[in-house]
Amino acid sequence: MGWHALPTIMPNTAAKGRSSVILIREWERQMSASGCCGRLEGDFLQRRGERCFPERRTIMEAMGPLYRDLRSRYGDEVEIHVVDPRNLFTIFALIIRDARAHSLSIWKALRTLFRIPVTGVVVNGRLLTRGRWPAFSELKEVLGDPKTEREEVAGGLA
Amino acid sequence: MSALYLMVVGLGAFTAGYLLYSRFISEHIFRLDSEFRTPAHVQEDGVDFVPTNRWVLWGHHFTSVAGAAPIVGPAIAVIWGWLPAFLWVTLGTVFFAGIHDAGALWASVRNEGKSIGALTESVVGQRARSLFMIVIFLLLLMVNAVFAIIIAGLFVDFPSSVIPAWFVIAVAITIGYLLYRRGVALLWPSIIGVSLLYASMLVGNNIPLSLPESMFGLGAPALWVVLLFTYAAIASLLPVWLLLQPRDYINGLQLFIGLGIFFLAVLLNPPEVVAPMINSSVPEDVPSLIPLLFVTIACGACSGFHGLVSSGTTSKQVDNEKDVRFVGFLGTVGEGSLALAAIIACTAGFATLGDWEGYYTAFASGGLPAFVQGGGQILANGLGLPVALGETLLAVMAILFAATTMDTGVRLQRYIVQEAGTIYNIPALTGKGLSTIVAVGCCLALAFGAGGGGGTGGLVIWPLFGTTNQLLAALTLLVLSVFLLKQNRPSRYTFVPFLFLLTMTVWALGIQLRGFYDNGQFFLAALDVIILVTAIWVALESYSAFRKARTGESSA
Repeated sequence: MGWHALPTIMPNTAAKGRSSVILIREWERQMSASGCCGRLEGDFLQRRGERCFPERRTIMEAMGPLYRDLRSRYGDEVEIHVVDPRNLFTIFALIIRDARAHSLSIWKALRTLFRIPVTGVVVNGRLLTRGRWPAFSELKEVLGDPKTEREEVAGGLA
Repeated sequence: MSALYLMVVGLGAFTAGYLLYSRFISEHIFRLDSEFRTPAHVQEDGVDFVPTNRWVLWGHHFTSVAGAAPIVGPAIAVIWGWLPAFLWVTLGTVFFAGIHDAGALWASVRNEGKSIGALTESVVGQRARSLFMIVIFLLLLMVNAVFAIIIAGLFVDFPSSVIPAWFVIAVAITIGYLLYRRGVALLWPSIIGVSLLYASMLVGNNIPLSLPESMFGLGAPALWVVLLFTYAAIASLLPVWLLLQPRDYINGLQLFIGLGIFFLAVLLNPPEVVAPMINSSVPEDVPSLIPLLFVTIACGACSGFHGLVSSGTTSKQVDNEKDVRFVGFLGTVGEGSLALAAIIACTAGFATLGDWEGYYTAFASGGLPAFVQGGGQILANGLGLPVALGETLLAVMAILFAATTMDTGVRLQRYIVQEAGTIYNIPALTGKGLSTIVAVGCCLALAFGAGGGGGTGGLVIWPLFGTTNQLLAALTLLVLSVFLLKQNRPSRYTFVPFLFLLTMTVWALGIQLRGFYDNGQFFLAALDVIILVTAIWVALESYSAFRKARTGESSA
C-alpha cells in the first residue's frame, strides 16, 4: 500500500481538480503571549493608530494584494489557505494532502515540509517561494491561465 | 481508583458535551446558518478577513489560547479533593467555557467581526466598554506578578529547571535570527531548538543551580522575581522576531509534546489517585470551596481572556458560520484537556496520601510543585523516564509558558502606560524607557505587596486573578445574553452562567477581602476593593442593559 492510500483528515478538495495555494505568514493578533493570558482587547491598539507588531502587519498587508488577485482571477479554481507558521501541524496536514492530490512522491512532500519558511508560498504541495511572496505573474506561471482567460482566448479564436 | 477513569470520563464528558450540548446550542440558540455570509467573505481582503478551513482555524485558535494558566488553577484547586476540581473542569468546559468561547465567536461573526470590547459598547453601552478596559488592565497587571512568582517558586523548588529555562533564551534568539534574518526553513531550527532544550534539561539535572538563600536583604524567591522582571523589561524592549516569536514556536511544540507524552504515560501505566475525593481535613487557611473553587480554576473551566481571541481575531477568519461550533467548542476542549492532565498529575502522581498531603499544607502553596512532582512520577512510571528528568521537563514547560506571557504582558502594559502618557499629556511617559520602568514597577509592587519582602506566598493573588478573569467572562456572557435577547432568542443558556459567575465573583471577592484585611494585607485588600467595585458596576450595567433590551422587545 502506497502512502497515497492513507486516509486524510483535511477535506481533499484539491483532488477535485483544483489547485491549492498556501500563503504562510504570521497573523498579527495571534502573536501574543503563548496563551490566552496577556492580551489587549482586539481593537485597542488600532484606535491609537499604532501597531503592536508593525513588522508582521507590513507583511500581512503586502500579501493581501496577492491573495485578492488570486481570488479575483481564479475564483474557485484555486483553493487558498492563509496559515500562521506556528500552526505547524495544520501546515503539515495541508502539504501532505496537496502532495497526495497532485501525485507527488513522499520524498517531495518531505522536501517541502523541511523547507517551510516563516513567510512564503506553497503551491500544490511544492514550495514556490521562501522568505518572500511571489508576484502574481510568478504564481500564474505555475497555476496556468485562469479559466476566464482561457475562455476569452478560446472565444477570440472562434 | 485508577487515574485512567478520570481521563476516560473527563475526555468522554468533553466528547458528549461537544456532540450533544454544543449541537443543541448551535442549532437552537445561535441557530448557526450555513447561508449566512460571514465577515471573512463580506469583507474578504486577504489581510484581516480571510475565509479559513475550520481545521486550520482551530489550529490557530487553540495555539492562541493554550498556555500555563489551565495548569496552575487546577493544581491549586485539588486541595479541596479531586472531585470538585474534576467536576468544575468538565462541566465548566461544556456548559460555561464552550458557550462562552463559541458565543463570543458567533456574536462577533454576526457583528462584522467586531472584538468583544467593541461589541460591549454597541450592545450594552459606552460605560460597559470602559469597564471592559479596566478589567483587562487589572488582569495584565496581575498575570505578570503571578507568573513571576510562579516561575520563581519553580526555580527554588526545582533548581534543575534553571539552566534549561535560561538556556532557551539563547536558543530562541538563535532561532529568531535564523528564521527572520537568514530565511532558514522553519522545521530544522525548531527541531534542533527543541532537541537542544531537552538536552539542556539533562544538563540542568546534573547541574542544579540555586541563588543564595539571602542577598541584598532578599530571599531567593524574591531575588528571582527581581531578576525575572529585569529580564521581562529587557525582553519587552527587543524586537518581537528576536525573542518573543521564536519562544512562541518552541512553546507550541512543547505543549503538544508535553500533553502527548503525559496522556501516553497515563495510558501505559495508569497511576492510582491517592488524593481524597473530597478533602475533609483541609489546612486551616483554606477558604470555603464555594465560591473559591470557581475563581481558582478559570482557564481550563471558563476564561474571559478567550473571548478576546474568539472575537476580533478568529471571527474574521470563519468561512462558514457552522464552523463556529467546531472551532469555538473544540478550542475549549483542548484547554480543558490540559486542565484534566493537571488534575491527574496533582492527585495521582504520589505514592501515598501522606505524600500528597505533604505538598498541600497551605492554600496556594503546593499547586505547581505538586503538578511537577506528581507529573514527573507519572512520566517515570509510564515511560521509564528518570523521575528527576520528568520533573524538570514539566517544570520547564510551565516556566516557558509563563515567561513568554511575561514578555508580552510587560510589553502590553508599556503600551497602556504610553497611551496614558498621550491622553494626559505627560511626554515622559510616551517613551519606551520610562513607560517600561513604570509598567515593571507596578508589577513588582504587586508581586511584593502580595508576598511581602520574601517574595513568597504571592500565589495569594491567584484567586484574585481568577476572579478578575471570571469577571471578564461574565461581562462577555452578559453581552451575549443581551444580544440574544435583542435577537428574540432564548438567553437563559448564557444568562444563567453569567449570573453564576458574577455571583461567585462577588462572593469570592468578599471572602478574600475579609481575609486580606484580617491578615493585614492592605495592598491586596485595596486591589480587591477595586475589583469588587468593578464587579458591582458589571451587575448594575447588566440590570440596565436587560431592562433596555426587554423594553425594546416589548415595544417592538
